[in-house]
Amino acid sequence: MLYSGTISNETEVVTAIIVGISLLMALVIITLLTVFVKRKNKLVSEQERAKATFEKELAETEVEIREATLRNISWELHDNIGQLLALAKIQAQTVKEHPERIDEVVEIIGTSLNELRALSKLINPEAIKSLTLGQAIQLEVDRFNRMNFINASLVEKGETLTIGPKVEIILFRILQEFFSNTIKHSKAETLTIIVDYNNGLHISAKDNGIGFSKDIEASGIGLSNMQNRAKLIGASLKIDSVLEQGTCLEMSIPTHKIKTHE
Amino acid sequence: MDVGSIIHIEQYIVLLLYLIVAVLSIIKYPKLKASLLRFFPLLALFNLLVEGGGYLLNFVTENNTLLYNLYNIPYFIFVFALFREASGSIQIKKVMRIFQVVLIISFFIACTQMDVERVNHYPVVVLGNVLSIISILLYYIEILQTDRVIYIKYDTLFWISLGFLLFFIGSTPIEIVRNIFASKASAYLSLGALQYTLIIIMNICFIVGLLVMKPKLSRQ
Repeated sequence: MLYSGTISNETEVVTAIIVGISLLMALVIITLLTVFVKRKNKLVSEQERAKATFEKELAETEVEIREATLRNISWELHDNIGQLLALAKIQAQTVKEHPERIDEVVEIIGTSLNELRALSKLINPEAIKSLTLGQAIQLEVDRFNRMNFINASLVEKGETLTIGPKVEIILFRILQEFFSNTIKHSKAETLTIIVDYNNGLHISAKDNGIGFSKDIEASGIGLSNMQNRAKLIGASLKIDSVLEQGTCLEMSIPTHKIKTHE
Repeated sequence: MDVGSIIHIEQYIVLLLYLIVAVLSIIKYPKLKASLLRFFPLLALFNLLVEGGGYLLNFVTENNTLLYNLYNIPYFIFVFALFREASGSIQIKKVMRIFQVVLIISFFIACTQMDVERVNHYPVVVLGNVLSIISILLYYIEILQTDRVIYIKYDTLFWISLGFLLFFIGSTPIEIVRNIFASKASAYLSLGALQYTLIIIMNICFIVGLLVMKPKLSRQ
């Protein structure tokens, strides 16, 4: 609004109004500043706590993966390469009587060497870090099939997405825990894993084992741990089990969360 | 320096600031167009035209009351629409719609009771101010519940809401008291000078918001 005219003395009321408005404005600004800063500080400290929890959980996950890898190597050395070399030794002992068996011995030793090379790749931390989630799961699938633990298969759908390394570690550990439960408890014959990169990342793993009841679920076979870890990376995780029919894990993570925590 | 001189200087500053806000919002339009503030350049241009037009009318006819009485309606409707869009709550959106309807009804009632060409419809302005303050406080309560508060200083809508809030809180008592002291030129002018100061503060908030904006935050 526009004003015109001349001015004489200020009235007391107008002065009071001006002072009142100035004080009111100062009060509003101070109140807003206090409320927003207080809320911001609270949120920042909550975020820092969540970050620390995430880092702690990540470190634990990495240790668990390392332990699982060492356990797997031990099994491979004992049950696979150890068996092959024992067989080669027995064959070699009979070579004097049956010289034609030398080719078989050479073949067995060659297979053992190949298995050892594959194993040494798994132990190399740099090689493990460079694997994509699909490749890491494929290695597990190959191991299950090689060791005759279960008949496992992996299907990948859509264009492979780049997943943040920390998210990848947590996802892999959740799956590793599910696979471990399947092999130890489910008595399943098949394990089918589907990794779908369309509209975010959707992973399903299904076995045809004996399943479990909700009571067992409550007592926990690492399920709550899996749920907590999924929550940390913003993924949704659902495990459905039907007695005598099998167990199915469904895990989804939206696209915008896939690259976070890098 | 007397209050009349101060008002003249403030008038030019206000016009200049309206111009800066309009130009800045047009320059920033590529970033604003995907956000809730896509119509803000229109409001800025509208404010500039009305303020410039009001100045000219006052100069030529010494009466710009009709222009400002008519200006109040689209202005407040825009404010309510802005905070309706900014809210994620269905209830708050409904409240904002009710505010819009209440304001339009109050304008028509005022038209039947007061001369629209000569008398300032201050009850409509006071009602619009109070409802706008409620809208802004509801918006603040909502953003305080989210983590947007962490990046609030880069949120253009926050700065715009702050400008509106300070202006509405300050100008509400002025609108009431100015009409009581309407016959006293000194009181009228002193309050007018204060109202110009509030407009200057509001526009400074708009300018800061447009300068510090981060498109991703304004898009939410």
